[in-house]
Amino acid sequence: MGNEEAIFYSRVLTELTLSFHIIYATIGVGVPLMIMIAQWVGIKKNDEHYILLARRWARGFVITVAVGVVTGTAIGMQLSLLWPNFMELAGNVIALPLFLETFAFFFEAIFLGIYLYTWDRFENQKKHLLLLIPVAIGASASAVFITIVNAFMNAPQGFDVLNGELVNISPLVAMFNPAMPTKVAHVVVTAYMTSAFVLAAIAAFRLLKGSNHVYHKKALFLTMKVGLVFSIAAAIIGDFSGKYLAEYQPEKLAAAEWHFETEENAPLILYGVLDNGEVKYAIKIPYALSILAHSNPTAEVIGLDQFPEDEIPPLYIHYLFDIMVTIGVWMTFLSAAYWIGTQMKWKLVESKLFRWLIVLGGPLTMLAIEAGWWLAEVGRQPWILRGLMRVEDAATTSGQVDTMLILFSGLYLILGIGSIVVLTRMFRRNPVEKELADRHAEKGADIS
Amino acid sequence: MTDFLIFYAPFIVLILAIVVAFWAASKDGAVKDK
Repeated sequence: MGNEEAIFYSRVLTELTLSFHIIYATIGVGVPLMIMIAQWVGIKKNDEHYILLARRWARGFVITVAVGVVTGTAIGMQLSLLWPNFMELAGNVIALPLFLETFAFFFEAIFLGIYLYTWDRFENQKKHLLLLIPVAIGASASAVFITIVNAFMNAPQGFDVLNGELVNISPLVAMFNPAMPTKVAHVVVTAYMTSAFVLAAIAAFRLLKGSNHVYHKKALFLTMKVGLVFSIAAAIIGDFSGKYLAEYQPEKLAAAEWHFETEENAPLILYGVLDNGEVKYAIKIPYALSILAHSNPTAEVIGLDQFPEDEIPPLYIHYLFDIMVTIGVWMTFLSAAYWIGTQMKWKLVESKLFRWLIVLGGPLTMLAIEAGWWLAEVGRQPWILRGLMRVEDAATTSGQVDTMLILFSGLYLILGIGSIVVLTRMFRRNPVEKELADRHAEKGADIS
Repeated sequence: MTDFLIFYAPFIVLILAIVVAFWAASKDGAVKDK
């Protein structure tokens, strides 16, 4: 296998691993907060349904954490195996956030174990809820630290370059790079948003499939409200990300927006297709790109004409941007319509069609997460470490990467199918009605 | 102003969103026990 092939297969395997891992990682970051909200509301309202909601979500969460750990370990391994030159160059700089990410995970895992084993052990539920705080903090902190590594790849700083090596390293300066705040906040808030909408999709699906229990209605109402809050926050932080890109990675913004010429009063291009360098069938929003980039409708936005040909990212990232933004806006409107509809007692939000739209919203939001990460990674091309090392110079020269690709594909297939089978069996064998009846029998109190 | 939006505002919005989510979740909704 030639070096070109090794680079190609390394890219494919890394993309496959990250795309698979991000599904479980996103749920792993967002669901602890959702469990915490449900249990807190349950305690506040003295409502057993919300407590049971937290309990059942926690059970499912354990399965997704397990798969997230396996795929996360695969990424750690592949960083060294597939991109050895990158790790040789930057390993000393990113070692601190990589270690902190592992530390945050163990912090989460230890308290998750204690939390799961102490259901019903506390007279006072509030004390049990306290155990969930380090779980939620650990889950979000692990996302923060690993995203800092990605931010560093986009905006490297905190070192001097001497004879092709990074010296005088300041790990904290490297961690607090300009890409960090917008990237970290956007990753965390979209994980919360996606988890809320995935859980809403499950609740809506149960309601559609004949279970008209108030438990599912409460779950749907809670998750759609929380999803609405986080989807609005994601849009606001997304706007800040546009300003970061205009300032520090203008080639990425210009490629994502098909902004070819540097100009003032720049319009934002939505949708459309690229035909021999010409944009067709697009919606042009006047001044919107200048506003997105600089909060000023007449500001100049740097175009792709300012960059050498071999430093321009692939232009198909515009489609990924469109997918991410369209789904984000759609879910904001859907959850807003649901919230207003429940307040105004609209029949529409109780209809089958609306509930199917909510069910569809779960996988759609996950697709937006995937599109967002593909946009982030492809938009950094040709660099693995912006301005310092190209992807092709970072890759392994091993002839075994194609074999690794087959082996890891098999592993992810088993993990994907296995986790779905385990989760569906876990909840089918112990439906809400049965669990409520069991707990009612245990406690002798009427809660159903 | 741009520096504020790039470096500080993202975390302010994130923390505010978490607080608002807890507040919104605790508000009495349209779903009542039967």
